[in-house]
Amino acid sequence: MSIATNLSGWFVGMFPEWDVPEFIAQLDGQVNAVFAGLSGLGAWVDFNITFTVVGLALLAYLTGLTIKAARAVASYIPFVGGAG
Amino acid sequence: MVGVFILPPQTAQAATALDDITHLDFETPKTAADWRVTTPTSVIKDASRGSSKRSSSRSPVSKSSYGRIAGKMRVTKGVSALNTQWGNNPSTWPEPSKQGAAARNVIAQTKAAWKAPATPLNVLGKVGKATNVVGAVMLGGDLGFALGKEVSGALGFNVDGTLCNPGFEDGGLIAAVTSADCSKWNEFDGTYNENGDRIPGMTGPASCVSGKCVSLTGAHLAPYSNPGTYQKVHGFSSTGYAGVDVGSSTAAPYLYVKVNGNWLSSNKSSVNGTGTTARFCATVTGSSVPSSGVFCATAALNSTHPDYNLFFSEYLLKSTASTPTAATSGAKVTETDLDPSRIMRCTIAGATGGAVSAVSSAYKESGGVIPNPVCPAVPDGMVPGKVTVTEEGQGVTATEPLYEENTTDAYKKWAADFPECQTGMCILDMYKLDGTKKKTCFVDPYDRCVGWFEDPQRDEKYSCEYAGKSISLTECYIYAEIFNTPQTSKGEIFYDPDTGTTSPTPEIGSGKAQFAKDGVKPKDFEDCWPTGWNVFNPALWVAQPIQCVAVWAFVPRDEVVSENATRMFENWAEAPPGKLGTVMTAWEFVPPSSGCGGVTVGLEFLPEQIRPGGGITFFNACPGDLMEPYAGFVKILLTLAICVAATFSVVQSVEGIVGYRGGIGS
Repeated sequence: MSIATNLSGWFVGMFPEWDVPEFIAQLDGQVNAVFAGLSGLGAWVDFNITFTVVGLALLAYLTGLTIKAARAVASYIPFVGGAG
Repeated sequence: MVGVFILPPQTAQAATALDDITHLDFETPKTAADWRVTTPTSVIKDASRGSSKRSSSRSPVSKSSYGRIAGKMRVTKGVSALNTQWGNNPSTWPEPSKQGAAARNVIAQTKAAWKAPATPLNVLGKVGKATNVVGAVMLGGDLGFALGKEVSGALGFNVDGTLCNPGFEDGGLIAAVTSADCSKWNEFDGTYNENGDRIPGMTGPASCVSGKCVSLTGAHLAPYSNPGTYQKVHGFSSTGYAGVDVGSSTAAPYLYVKVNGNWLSSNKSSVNGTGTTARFCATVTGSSVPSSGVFCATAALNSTHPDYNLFFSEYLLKSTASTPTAATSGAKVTETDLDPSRIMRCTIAGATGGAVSAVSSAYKESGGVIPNPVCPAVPDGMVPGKVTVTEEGQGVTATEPLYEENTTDAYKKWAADFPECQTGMCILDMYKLDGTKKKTCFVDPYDRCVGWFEDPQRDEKYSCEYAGKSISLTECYIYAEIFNTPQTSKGEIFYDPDTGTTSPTPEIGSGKAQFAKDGVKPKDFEDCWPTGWNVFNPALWVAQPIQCVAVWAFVPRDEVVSENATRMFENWAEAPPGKLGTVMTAWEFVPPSSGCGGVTVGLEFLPEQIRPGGGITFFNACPGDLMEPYAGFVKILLTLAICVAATFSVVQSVEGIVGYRGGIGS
């Protein structure tokens, strides 16, 4: 665990100083404004179902991406992965 | 320093089942002075009588010489000392003054050959449901039983630290780990403000409503309450009651208290502040009715007479005096009443009857700390069945225990089977069997047990005893190296979980390792590669790192996990990904609501004269609108299309995980 923690600290230490820009911090407000403008289209589109299935698709994609990334990293671990 | 050694599990051949007690906790001997040496009376007596048998050829001391020496020692130290179960380290025994050089040499050899049996200080087991601690979480004696070392000590457990000590900063975490209930102690914040904890409004200047003023003295709130109940009120005036001085009032004031949402009248004369009643009495002076003195008001307060009520937070004072005035006689409650001295009484009831008790040091709320209860020593023959702690003192009715715990059956069995161990002072002894006889491996100058662990017939040749009762030989595996004299002289037999010091190599490959689970300090990385001449030993190139891995592979201690996790989270929180994650976590999205008004586009670019008011609206499909009949059909089609597309997307993602292509998602 100590090694993992130190590796983690070394990794994040490589990032430069950075503060989240204001527009990113308030991105939800802008998106919500767009959503509010789309509210009048509820008669044409079922937003509840749309957001649910789109969310599931994104979740599946991110899950697959995470697993593939973890496998790729693990493949370089000596005596464990096959890439080394 | 107390270390925890995990011994091999007992075999089915264990002569005496220890039930839940599967581990013995050993004191780690570091120096000769740290050895705890037992001197079995039989051995001493035998030695003191001497023997005609010749000693083993490899014995450094002849048995007859040993007998003489022991006899001299017996004389030197006295019979009572030698017959004491616990003797001193033989290296500290005084030299017989009347011995010649040869005898002194023999004595020296005897001391050098002396083996000190390890002393199991604590048998790890359960005492009660709230004390299912020890062993697994005990880190160098930092933790103890729920009530601390006093209770534990009384029950035969030697532990340091106190889980519920108000001053113990980490009590919350430890309490969570150990399931100890510290709530009754935690409710006391350890602060004290003079008069600040009286019933609100019942002190200080006169309180007036509509020109009617009453000055009150104080009543004292208990420093803590029992969960689910209201606070007890105690510590009244010197007469035992809360005082109310209404000066020259002509009528008695009435006091009321609101408890659990119910107004309780002051005419109840039962126990103060308990149940559904409260007793608040008034001291009336002047020409009051009835006459001056302590008077317990009898009139009931209810909402039909709100005009008589002077509100004091949750407490009410009602006075029928026509012109009650401010008090002139001052407080009726003494400082002793406000901050009474109390004690805690710990009572240990025997499983088969009888009880002993002891009291803690006196404490006051103003002291800021409630001391640990002090429990009595358990007398010989008594097996603790229940531990109860109550509070006693002025204004306290010790009817409800602060702590009450029954000992477990496993503990009671252990205490009954090993009564001499309740003080934590009995040994783990090992014997070499010789026909129908057995001879201890300790108190022995003959090294009769050298090489016992390597003996393939050790199960038949040796026996292990704890407190005089036979137990599995595996419990004596901790003595694997103790009869190896060179190791003994260096004191490097055991793994020391405190310092990480180990015997040089026996742990590797020999199967004798005494792994210490708790308290293991991970070795530095460089320690996991052979150093010195060992770098030329190819076997260690493999064995030593594996050993380190084995140590690391043990379940890490809670605080190690916590520390690393905290450090990792802190590192990430300060990094750009962490900052971005924090921001994204705070995002709140509100999905579009379901409306039919369509989308309105503003036309601000057109001159105001020709601009339609409010812009142009598209896709409006409310009832009566032109597109309303089509909206439902389109909605169904779009929903189906979105669901099908999402299904394909999910399938494709799953296929990607296993590297499969060609399914419906492709």
